Amino acid sequence: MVGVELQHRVEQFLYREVRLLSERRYEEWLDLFSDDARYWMPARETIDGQPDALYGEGEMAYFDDDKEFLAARIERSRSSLAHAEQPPSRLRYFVSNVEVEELGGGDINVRCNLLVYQSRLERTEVSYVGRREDRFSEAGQSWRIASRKIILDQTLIPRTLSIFL
Amino acid sequence: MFKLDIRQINPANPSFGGNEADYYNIGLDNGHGMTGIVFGDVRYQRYLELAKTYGPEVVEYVEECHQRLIKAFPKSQSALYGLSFSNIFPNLSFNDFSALRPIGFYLWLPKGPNVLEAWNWCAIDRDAPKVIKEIARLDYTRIQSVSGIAAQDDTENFEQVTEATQGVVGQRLDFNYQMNVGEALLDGPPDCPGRFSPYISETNQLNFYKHWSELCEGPASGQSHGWRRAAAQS
Repeated sequence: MVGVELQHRVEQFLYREVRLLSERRYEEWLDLFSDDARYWMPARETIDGQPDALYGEGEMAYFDDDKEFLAARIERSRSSLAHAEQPPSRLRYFVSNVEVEELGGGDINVRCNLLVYQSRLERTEVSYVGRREDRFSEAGQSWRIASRKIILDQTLIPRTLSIFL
Repeated sequence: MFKLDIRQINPANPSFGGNEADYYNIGLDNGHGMTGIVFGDVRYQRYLELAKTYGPEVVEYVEECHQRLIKAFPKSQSALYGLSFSNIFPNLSFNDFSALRPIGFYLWLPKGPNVLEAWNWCAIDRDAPKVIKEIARLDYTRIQSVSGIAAQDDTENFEQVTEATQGVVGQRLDFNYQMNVGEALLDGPPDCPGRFSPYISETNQLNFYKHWSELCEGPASGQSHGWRRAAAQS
């Protein structure tokens, strides 16, 4: 079991991270990632006898981005071309069930549950529920997100994803 | 490995190469339609240029595919490099593809009033080199998948059109499908079937709904295609 202080620091990191997302401070959010980061959300299927039938490496994904492409998404979101977020959605992020595993050298694995509520225009509202499996690498007094794997519980995505999870 | 070229977001757009006059809508019988169709090597050259940024193996594959295309089809058909956004009546669509891009399929399933479910998958040449498969997979994931930078905007459009038709006035009015419909039909290359019209127009939408209407209510008297009627009125 990790110490209370480490647990607390990781939770504060995550709370700030999702606040940046809900406030669309995407450039600051991107700064939390290491330069070689991977941002991955594999697709999944409902298969009898396989409760977690996720697609693997080299298979289809909802997101499979490096930092460069995340930056391109953000740049596009700041342009007048990104209709899906004009006007911007109201977003609320919840992270919970944070579990930290020390890997040595200051690197850690962080698992958490994620609930994101998206409200658009007048009546459109959807929620995304799932979990994250992150690896944080040490960077000074804090960390950078070196890899993020997002595993949604939904097999049918409620609408196209114009937000980050 | 995957490089973003902003023009990839809509390769049917003339900024992708050539000019707008080179692009067509093609309306086919039974409600099928294709759009953003260009003949000649404009798009091939464009993809070749893109391939060069990935290295010799990718260039070789793109060239080889082009040679296969030329061998397999008569000139008038091989000149059609890639098909852009097209629909097989009523609900199977596919999007732009080439040697570097997978064919994306969309199956549109009505799930009740104002609810649509989309199934989305893609196909890549089984014999393509591994590097091509990975470029194609990332291209598709990042541009046309459910989070894709092109696809996410399309959903927003559908939602807002649906929303806009729910009001009292929206329910009272007919849809307007007149964009560029009054233009005369264009001459396509010889040996190519279909009715050619300017690229940016709603002729295919009329073609689709006309066929649907005929299936539901029987053929309209003396008119085989709605877009022709609209053209005659202008």
